[in-house]
Amino acid sequence: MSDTIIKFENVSKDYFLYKNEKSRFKAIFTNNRGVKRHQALKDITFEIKRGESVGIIGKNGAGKSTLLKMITGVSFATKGNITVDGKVAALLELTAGFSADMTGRENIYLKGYLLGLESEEIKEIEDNIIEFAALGEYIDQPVRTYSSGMKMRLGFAININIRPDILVIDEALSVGDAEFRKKCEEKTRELRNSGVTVLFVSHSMSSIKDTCDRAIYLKGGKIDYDGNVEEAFKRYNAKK
Amino acid sequence: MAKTTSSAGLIDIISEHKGQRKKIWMLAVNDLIKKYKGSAMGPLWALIKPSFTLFILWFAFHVGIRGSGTVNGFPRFIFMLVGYVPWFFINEAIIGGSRSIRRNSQFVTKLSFPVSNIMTFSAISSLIVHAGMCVIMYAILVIAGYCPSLYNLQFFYYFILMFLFFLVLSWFTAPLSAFSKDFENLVNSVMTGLFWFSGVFWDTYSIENPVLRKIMYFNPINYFINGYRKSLLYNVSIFDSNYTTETIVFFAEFILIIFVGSHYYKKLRKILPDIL
Repeated sequence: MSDTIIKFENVSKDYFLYKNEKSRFKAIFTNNRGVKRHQALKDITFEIKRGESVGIIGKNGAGKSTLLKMITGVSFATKGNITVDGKVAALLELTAGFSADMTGRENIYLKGYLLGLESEEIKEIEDNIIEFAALGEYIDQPVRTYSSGMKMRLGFAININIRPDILVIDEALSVGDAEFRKKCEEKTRELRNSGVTVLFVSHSMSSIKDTCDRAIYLKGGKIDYDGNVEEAFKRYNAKK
Repeated sequence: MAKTTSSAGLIDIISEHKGQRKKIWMLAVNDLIKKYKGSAMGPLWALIKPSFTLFILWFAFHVGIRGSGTVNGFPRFIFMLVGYVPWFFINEAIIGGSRSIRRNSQFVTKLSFPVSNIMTFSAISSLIVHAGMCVIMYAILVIAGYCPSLYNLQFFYYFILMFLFFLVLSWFTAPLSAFSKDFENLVNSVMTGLFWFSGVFWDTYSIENPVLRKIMYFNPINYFINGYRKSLLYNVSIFDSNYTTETIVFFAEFILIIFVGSHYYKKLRKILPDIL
């Protein structure tokens, strides 16, 4: 097991911008030649060590979401190499992959499979998830009958309990009421203390300072600063 | 160069399926339930709807148009039954397959998900319905006295091969349809024509013009529909020397779409999350 858990080497990401549906159809045959591109990330290189907690800051459109999507394996680099050496739990799209017609319990299995777990592993953590989500009798009801808060809670409970190596958190995410949020914060702290690598996206210096000892400041698709949290925020606030 | 990317695509697709059996099965069943949710009969509708079509055909050709006669010595309804049942699957597999990625876009844009599994689980969900229809069809054939026969065992060859063929076809129709809605519409428009160009209603082997008859070999749908009839009605062997050319043409096409399909899949896989 190497010390480095996430490694980006000269990673660039281009998005294709099609003028209209016609040019999109044409692109099938022309191999996207001549299509306008938008470069969301430009030649990014960094390394994150096992157990580190790193804050990611930057304005809207700086490339934060693109970066996280590549770490979670949803999106792919146009150029460069990305190595992610561990199981990622992303607290970004909590309800993605749920089937509205299956019960909460069945969805634990479905989501577990989607996150790459085996049946036995899911069985082991099933009770923890149910307890954490605190849905009561609703756990055996179809998810379509859930309120959005309940769905979030189940999603959060699953993601947090899969024993991840890397935890990706977006602070903009709101999960239920104050009480549940507190429970989530406690759980993430517990995970962090147990040596899980944490990536934390936020605009608030205090919450990043609380959790992270390093921050990456993204600006216009490039790393503007990588290091001390206070220095990163100084730059972030200065260049507004 | 093209060849190396194609075989790399094929390896990708195969490795994306390793250890995913339970998940794919769960998603296939879910896909079926989703289509008919909110109805008391649920997924049974997937069987009732085509059965109703068959009933109307029976009524029209057996009761109504008395003079509809026989095809190759079989009552027209029986002949059509064995063509219609695979056609239901083919139609569903082509249209459902091409729409599968777009319909399940959350797996692509929000999760780290082996995209080729989407095509597999939607094809399996169509196959479950088809298996049910085949049971109904076989029951009718047994009652009518055309089955059983040892040749019936060949059915499983065509059944499995048909599933694989249309699954592989969706390796490129699905990403392309996800990429461009125009491609999806193109696939849909072709389907109506394809129905009449395929021997569902009529026998492609009895075209008098020998050139036209051979051209029909290039339509893979005929390979399956005629194959079902060979196994269930005609009692003709897969290896019957009269049909060697047809088999060779079919497998040449199959190999071609394996290469084209995996090539396009690999090419489009990585940009799909950005464009959906």
